[in-house]
Amino acid sequence: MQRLYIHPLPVRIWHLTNAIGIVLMILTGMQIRYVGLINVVSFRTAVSVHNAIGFILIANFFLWLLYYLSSDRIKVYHPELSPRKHFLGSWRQAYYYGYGIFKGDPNPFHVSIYRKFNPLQSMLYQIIMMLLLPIQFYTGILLWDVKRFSAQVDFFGGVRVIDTVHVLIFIFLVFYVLVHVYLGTLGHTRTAHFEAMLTGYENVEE
Amino acid sequence: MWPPMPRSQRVEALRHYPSAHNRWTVDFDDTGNIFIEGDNLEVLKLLQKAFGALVAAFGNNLPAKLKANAFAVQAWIAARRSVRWHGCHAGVLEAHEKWLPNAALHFEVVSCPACHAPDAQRKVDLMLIDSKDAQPRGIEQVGVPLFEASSHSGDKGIDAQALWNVLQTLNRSGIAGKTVLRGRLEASTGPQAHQLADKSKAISDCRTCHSAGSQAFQNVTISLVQPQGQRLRYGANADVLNSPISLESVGGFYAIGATRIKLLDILVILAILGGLGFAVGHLTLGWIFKYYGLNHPGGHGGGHGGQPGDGQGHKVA
Repeated sequence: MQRLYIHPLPVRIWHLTNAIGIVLMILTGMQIRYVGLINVVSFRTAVSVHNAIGFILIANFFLWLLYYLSSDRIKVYHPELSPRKHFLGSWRQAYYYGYGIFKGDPNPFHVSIYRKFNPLQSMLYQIIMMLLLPIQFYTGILLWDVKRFSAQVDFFGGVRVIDTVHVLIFIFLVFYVLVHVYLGTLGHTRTAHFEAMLTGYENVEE
Repeated sequence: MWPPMPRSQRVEALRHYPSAHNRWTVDFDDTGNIFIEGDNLEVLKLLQKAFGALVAAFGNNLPAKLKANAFAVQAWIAARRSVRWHGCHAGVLEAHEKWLPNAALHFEVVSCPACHAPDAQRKVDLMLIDSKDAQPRGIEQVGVPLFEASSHSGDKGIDAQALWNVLQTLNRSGIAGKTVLRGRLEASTGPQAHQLADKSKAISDCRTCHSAGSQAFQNVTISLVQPQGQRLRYGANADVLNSPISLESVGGFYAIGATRIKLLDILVILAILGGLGFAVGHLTLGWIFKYYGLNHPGGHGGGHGGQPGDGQGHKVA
């Protein structure tokens, strides 16, 4: 096994902050949406905490963006420009997760410092980081002060439309977090990927 | 006394500032008058008494120019500089901002009696307005027959589909302007709106309005304005506030938690079950492959190389 430094400190800090933040956003979001059904904290407290963490996550997002824009590690996010290659890679990876992994087949993807995402991760993370999270932050800011941003809220069809988009992404994130945590247990040991996200080092096959 | 604020803010404050009785709007640019709109003529008469000569006309006595521009107006007050009504409740927004998230929005969509008359029944009034100038739509523009036909679409009043159809008809191509709905939570009746309690008894528990099934959102009316300024209200099915069909038609009125779209709740449950089901299903498949010896134990891992169902992940040699 080779020990590679895959996750630099800024990425680990960002990831940990993001992980805790998104879980808290989901929990407080549930409390806000289902007040009366869930009564762990008051509605007002849930709104205040939700807003505060939202701004922390927005700041965290820009730190992440700044880090990658100023680092050669941004290569990990470079997309595969050949559609054929990307499709084949994604198919192999999906086949592996859906069948090969049960038989004990080798993982078709091998991690390296500048290529740490398999084709499925690469596609998904770009959608999440460059599309869904920015939309979630934007709609969250609009909902934070609907009156101040009323022109933009009206432009998009009203507060109900904004909230619906916010909730749809929230629903996706609920599903994503559960699956993401589970897939995190599929390292060479159950905790290997979690340890890697804390230490930065990943053990990979030579 | 006007608080120190820019004129644009004053206009905005006036436009949405709910008095205990009626709504106040202003038209500085055109007529320079402050308008009070509402359907309680008795209160307007009291206002005339209180403001003396300032309240100059009611209903049909409005000057033609005013009538043309604001048919909802039942009274108008000239010499606006002398009006000091704002002083009665000065600082009220700031006071609410200390504890109420999105206070300015609450002021716009919730009338004062809806909270300060705690025993009052509440209702949501969806008023047809012009999207550009926010002026109420009257029966001249909308047409009563269209609404009367729609109100028979269900036993509980206009439903979400009928409402959507009405708005589509009103906004069909070739029609100038766009008609939208402006929602507002109000006390159900005028007398109830006057049962104001001490502020310590006002509703301040968010759950009262933000819980699913809240009483506040069980009564819904859709209103337009008659030539005399009186509101014409049609009962609507409370589901217009929860239906996905209302996403466009009632896009501007939404109370988090209370008027949420039920379809999204189903998606939330599916997301949780799907996420957990994915993990459990994957683990189970791994266990089945191992139990029946369908895997090859010497298999390699690497990256995500663990094998689900083997208890501690798949160690790579």
